Amino acid sequence: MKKLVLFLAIFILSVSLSAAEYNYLVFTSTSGTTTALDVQNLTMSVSGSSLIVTNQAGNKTFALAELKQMQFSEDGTVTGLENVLNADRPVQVYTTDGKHIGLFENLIEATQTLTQGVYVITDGKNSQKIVVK
Amino acid sequence: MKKINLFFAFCSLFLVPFSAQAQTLNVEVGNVTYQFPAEQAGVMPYSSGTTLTVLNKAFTLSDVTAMYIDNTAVTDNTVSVDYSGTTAKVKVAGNVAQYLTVAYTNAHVSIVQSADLAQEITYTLSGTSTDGGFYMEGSYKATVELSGLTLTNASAVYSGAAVHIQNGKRIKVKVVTGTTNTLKDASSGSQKGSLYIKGHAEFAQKGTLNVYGYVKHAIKAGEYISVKNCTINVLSAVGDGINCEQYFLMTSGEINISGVGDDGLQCDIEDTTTGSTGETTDHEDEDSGNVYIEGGTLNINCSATGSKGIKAAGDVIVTDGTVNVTTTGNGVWDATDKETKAACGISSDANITISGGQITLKSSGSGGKGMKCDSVLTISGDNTVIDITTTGGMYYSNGSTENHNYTGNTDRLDSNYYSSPKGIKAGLKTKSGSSGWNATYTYAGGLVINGGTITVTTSGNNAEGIESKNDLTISGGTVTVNSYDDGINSARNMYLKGGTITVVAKNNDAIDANANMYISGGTVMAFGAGGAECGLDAAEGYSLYITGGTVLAAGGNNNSVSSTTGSQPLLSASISLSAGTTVSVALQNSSTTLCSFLVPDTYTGSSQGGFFAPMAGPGGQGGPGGQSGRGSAALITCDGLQSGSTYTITYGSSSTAAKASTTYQGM
Repeated sequence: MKKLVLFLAIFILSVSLSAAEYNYLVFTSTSGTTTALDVQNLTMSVSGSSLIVTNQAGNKTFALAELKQMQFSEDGTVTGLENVLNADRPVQVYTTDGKHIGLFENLIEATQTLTQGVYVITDGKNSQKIVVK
Repeated sequence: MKKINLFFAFCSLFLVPFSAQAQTLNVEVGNVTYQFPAEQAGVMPYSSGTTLTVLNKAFTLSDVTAMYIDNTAVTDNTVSVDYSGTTAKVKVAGNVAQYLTVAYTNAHVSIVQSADLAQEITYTLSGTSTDGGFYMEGSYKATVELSGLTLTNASAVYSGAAVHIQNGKRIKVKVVTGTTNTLKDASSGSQKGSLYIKGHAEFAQKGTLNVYGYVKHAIKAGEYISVKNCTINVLSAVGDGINCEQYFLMTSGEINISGVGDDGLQCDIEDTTTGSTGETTDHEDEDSGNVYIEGGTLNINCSATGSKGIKAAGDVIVTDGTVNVTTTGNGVWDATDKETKAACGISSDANITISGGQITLKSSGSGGKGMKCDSVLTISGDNTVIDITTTGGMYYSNGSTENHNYTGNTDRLDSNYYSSPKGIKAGLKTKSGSSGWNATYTYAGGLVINGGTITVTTSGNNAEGIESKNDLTISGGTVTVNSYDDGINSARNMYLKGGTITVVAKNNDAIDANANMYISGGTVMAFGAGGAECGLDAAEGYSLYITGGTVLAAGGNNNSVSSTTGSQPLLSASISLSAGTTVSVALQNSSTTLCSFLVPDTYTGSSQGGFFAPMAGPGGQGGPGGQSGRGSAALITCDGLQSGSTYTITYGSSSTAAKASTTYQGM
């Protein structure tokens, strides 16, 4: 009985941890303007110097030369996470209860090294909770 | 319990859907799709309106044919290649995209790993193409899954191999359970194998792999090969069926090799300059040229001239499993080495050590042998079963004239010019002095039998049963030899210490030592031919010593027996023997049998007569009594004989009397 409860608890926890939804793809222009588009049925195609993004809401065209970046977002906003991901900056990794795991050269190295679990990662300026599957 | 089930159902209904919302960005470049999970993608910068970079993988936007987001679940460190006709679709997990350069031409796919790659990638290959190939190059270990792949390489684009892994690390080849895979290489290529792996190949899982090699080998690895569980069928090869270096290890599964132009399985030493490392602990850094059979079934059929079923530059070590090898190729002249070569079931340049398993070796070509090694051949194990049959005659060639059933005298013939068929040959006898009658020799290796059930049958002209080119020792097991020529022969001393040895030689000595012969135990029945051929024969100038054992030796003659410390008395007589005859010994006027022997069914009598002169036995018996056997000189010894006492030897319905002595004057 205890084992079953434990199994269910782990099941719920694991499902919850992997439930991060990235409902938006946020485009940032070189001028700093951001545009969040729903990812449902989203396709992109390059046409000459333009990027045409199509989703269930319609089409959106971006001038490629004016696009700085794009990134997934859970709520349509751009978080400070970009500073962590974008730079090859060292990151500190902690467990969710605050235990220090280690210092990694960058986020990619950290995610490739860490075992499955939920971690808080920071580059000194920004922090982000991540799930390693 | 019902509450728990309800709770579980609740969880399934409301929580699982969340996990199904994994968004993935797919970037298609032609037939290659790079898949980036949203949680990994991070910031994806555009540069100058021409480049998009995702997880450090830069895409030239003009090359991108499509980008879309879906809910595909992506497994890190994976690449899949799905072949269909003349195309192949490649999918690359985003986390390793930056480390891979993917190219393709129709269904020919090339993937080059960068030197920065630091994680193992699993490449899963599936589908069918009649003109495709898979080439992977890298320097980090990898896994290749064959998951229902039928691949014929017809035009040799990146390589002529069907699957070519130009990677010197460990390559795990998973023949996915339940799948059948077939590889055929391009005859126009220059590849070393239809499946070529530069590094070490570890075959696993329970699928089936069929391989055809139209240029050289079917399967070639530059380093070791290990096989576990899977079924590998080599159906055609210009060269060897399987060729590897360092070592070969089979622990389970099944390998079937046929249709090859050279050897079935060949293992060489990779670093021939440094030489063999010998076997190492857990095979770590081993470069021995050894072949290990620890389980599974290995079936090999070779028909090429001079081909070997298993050929090892190092040792052949069999501890378990089933090995069946049939060679049908004749002998052949090797113009490079300027000597004859002959087919052989199992061949080692070093040692053969068999401690278990069931081994069946058949050879029908001229000069064909069952098993041979240049050093020590050791057989042991209560459950070891070895059955060897050769039917070929002697092969002769001087480079211009050859004879596949040579019957001439070889006494003064250079050994490079002929190959004698044999069941087992162990050790090396090397000429070190002048030639002809004055030649001197050095001896190496030898043969040791400590156990097992060993049956050797040879029927071709000049075919010996078991031969050691140095000493020969039998201390256990059941050894049965039926041979055309000598049954058991040693170039130097022979030691028979135990076991049950039954030898019938139709045209020569049954057991022949070209130095001293020492019998100290076991049961020995030796039936030589008639005339000058012996049951037991030691070389001229050497002696036969008997200090124990239960022995019946019969032939046209027997070697003289010299007395030594602990000599066991023996009896000599001329008796008639035929298959099925029981020979027994009892103290004269006693009904207590000291020993008895059953003449084997394969014995047809001394073909050249012998000196049959039966003595009148007790009770008025004597003479052949209508038996069909030929006369034979017999030596009999067993425990309990007293020197000087007279014993009754009963053979069939006849009997004779003989006095025991520790010496015997024969030939």
